[in-house]
Amino acid sequence: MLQAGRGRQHGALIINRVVPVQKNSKLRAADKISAAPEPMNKKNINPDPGCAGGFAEASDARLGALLREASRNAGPALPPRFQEGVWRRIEEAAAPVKSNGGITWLDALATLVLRPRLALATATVLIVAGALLGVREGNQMAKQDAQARYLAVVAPNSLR
Amino acid sequence: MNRSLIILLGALILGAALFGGSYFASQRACRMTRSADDLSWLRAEFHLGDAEMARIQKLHEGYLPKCAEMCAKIAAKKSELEMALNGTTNVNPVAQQKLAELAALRAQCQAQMLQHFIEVSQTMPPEPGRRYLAEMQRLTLGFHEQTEQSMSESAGHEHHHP
Repeated sequence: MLQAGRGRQHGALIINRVVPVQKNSKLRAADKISAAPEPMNKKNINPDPGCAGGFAEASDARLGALLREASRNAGPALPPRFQEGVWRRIEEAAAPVKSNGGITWLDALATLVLRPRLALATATVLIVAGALLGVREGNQMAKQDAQARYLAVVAPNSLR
Repeated sequence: MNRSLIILLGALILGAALFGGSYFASQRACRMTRSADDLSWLRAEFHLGDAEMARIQKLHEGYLPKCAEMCAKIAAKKSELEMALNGTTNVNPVAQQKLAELAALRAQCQAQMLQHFIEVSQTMPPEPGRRYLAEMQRLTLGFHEQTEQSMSESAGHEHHHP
């Protein structure tokens, strides 16, 4: 019991050394690593300058320890292959965007369209344009109907 | 299929649906709010006031029974013409007589109608009055003019090419 308590305290100390604020989410551990003093990238994933060789194993072990401690302190157990998932997401985020020839502009356009401000503006323009055209067309049709009604009363078809 | 293409197609469909929906809703609302009165067109088209509309309404109510009477006479004459033509392979003298009577009735009715248009135009301010008369003549007499013109053109075309 005493040992487990010490272990927990030690784990908490490690996490607090990286980032002093304790968070609830399981993903916070990954965030804490990315918030380390020396930023990680594809070439230097391990922020520790003393571990240039074999950095992947060392950082993996350190992340594993952190995650284990975090999971013990945070409550429910982590889902299976969580650690791999975290590394994959970090690598995906760090990796440059793959360009696929001619459809790059399509991706750029999609990104532009998905911006909430632009999407809202486009929807507004469409609604206003549709409403204006509808009113114009409706007025035109109503005018034609009224004219036909008047003509039908004063000039029956047999005279036209 | 490319994800971007799906997104853009979805945005396009959504945009078209928004545009179409607002278009039809506005059109429907606009048509529903318009008055169903027979003379509403005159008021809206020629920008007439209440006093002018009251005078036109009076003329209109005076004209309608006369128009209905002429229409009944024309309908009766058409029935007589159909009876005269029934079972014959040529235009007999009776049918010719009925055709002449029908044409005379139509001419009389048209003259009465044009007289009504002139009276209505005189109750309007000068410019809308002129426009009304020209429009009514175009709408009521223009049909025959077009038919006659097209027939004369086709006849002339045939003469040029024996």
